[in-house]
Amino acid sequence: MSLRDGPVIVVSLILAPLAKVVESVAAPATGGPDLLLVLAVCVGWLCDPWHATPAGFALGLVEDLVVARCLGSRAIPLAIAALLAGSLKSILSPESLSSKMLAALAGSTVADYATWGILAAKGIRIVPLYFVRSIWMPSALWAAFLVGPMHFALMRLAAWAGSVLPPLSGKGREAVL
Amino acid sequence: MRRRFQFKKIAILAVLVAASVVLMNVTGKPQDGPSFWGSLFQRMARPVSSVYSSVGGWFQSLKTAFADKEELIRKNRELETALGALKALESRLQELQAENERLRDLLDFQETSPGKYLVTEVYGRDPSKWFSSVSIAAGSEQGVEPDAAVVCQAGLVGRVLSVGKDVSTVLLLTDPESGVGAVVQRSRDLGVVLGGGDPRALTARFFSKDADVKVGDLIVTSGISSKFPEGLLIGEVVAVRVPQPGLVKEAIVKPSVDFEHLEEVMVIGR
Repeated sequence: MSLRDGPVIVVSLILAPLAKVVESVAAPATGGPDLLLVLAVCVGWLCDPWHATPAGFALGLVEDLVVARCLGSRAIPLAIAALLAGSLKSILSPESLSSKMLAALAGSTVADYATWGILAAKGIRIVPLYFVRSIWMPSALWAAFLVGPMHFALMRLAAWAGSVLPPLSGKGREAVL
Repeated sequence: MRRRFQFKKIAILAVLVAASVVLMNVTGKPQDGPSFWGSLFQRMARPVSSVYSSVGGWFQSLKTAFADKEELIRKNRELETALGALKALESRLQELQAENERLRDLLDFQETSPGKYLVTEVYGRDPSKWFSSVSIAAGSEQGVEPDAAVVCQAGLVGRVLSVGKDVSTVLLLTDPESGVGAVVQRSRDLGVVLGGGDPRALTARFFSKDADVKVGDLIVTSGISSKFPEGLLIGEVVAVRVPQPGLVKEAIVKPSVDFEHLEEVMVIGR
């Protein structure tokens, strides 16, 4: 884990339960945003893809543990979303908002279809039309809409956390790097 | 000379008295309308009078307004406060009325359906959009047991998935993992109603591909499973799918329960 990625991942993991609470209390039951997915895409965009992947997995695991119905059904897809976003960053313009929105659309699409597939493989069948209309499409649109503000907030919080948290030094830093 | 002067005085006095009497008689006579001069005066005076009245009235109202401004502001504030309180009261009354109606319906349901019922409140929904469950404010302390059927006045809601001390999770009929033994009320053809995530549509799969099912048929619980009592309303058939060779007959069922607006439910005791 690099010194730059550390605070981003720590802050995202702290924000994850909060995001889940906000999502389940304030967002509508159907057609609402998936804040953890947006968080995973932002982590992917801000960090090295191979650091973002386990972070995305951890974010998905938060949802899996909260829901406690099918472990792994969100952990794996969010890891993929973070990896995809991190990989797209090297191809697209990292500073451009439209690039982030594109990464969010791609990440949410891949993650939601992966979850749908995992659930179907476990015998949990979600009606295709309902999945497309009420889960995937709203999730993708919300992700594209929220990725800009979430990216900004995560970047600021991570910068603040980086200045507050004690720096890694000496052998510890070398070992981590 | 002196006598002559006195006569003159008396004569003048008499003339003046006579003239006064004549004038009194003339002016005292009733007339059909104002005289020419009176009419002319009235015409000239009318615009002046109206302007005077208007200006006077305006000054008067201005004076009143300034004098009563503080009082009016105070009264306005009082009225606005009272209006706000009344609106809040009206909203509360409407809420209580709606709650009263729902509880009355639940009571009617209890009276018409045999069994033990525990009325409880729905206070939360599933934190995931992939599954459909709700949290209810009753648990093992209130006598809730796992797999107990949960109903509301409109019909079957689902079954208890997990039980805590004073909270429980109810798996809704619409959950992708939900399956309920069902029967067509009219033809008594058996099947199973499956959830697919959609709160507005369930899938009924019939055991026979020749099952007699039509749009508008009511689907109720079959009672074959020990989890659900017989005859609980699940929903109404809105579409029937023609089965492919080798496949069973399917129907789309519109649930009788509005799963997006659940507020109170009843857990059926055993």
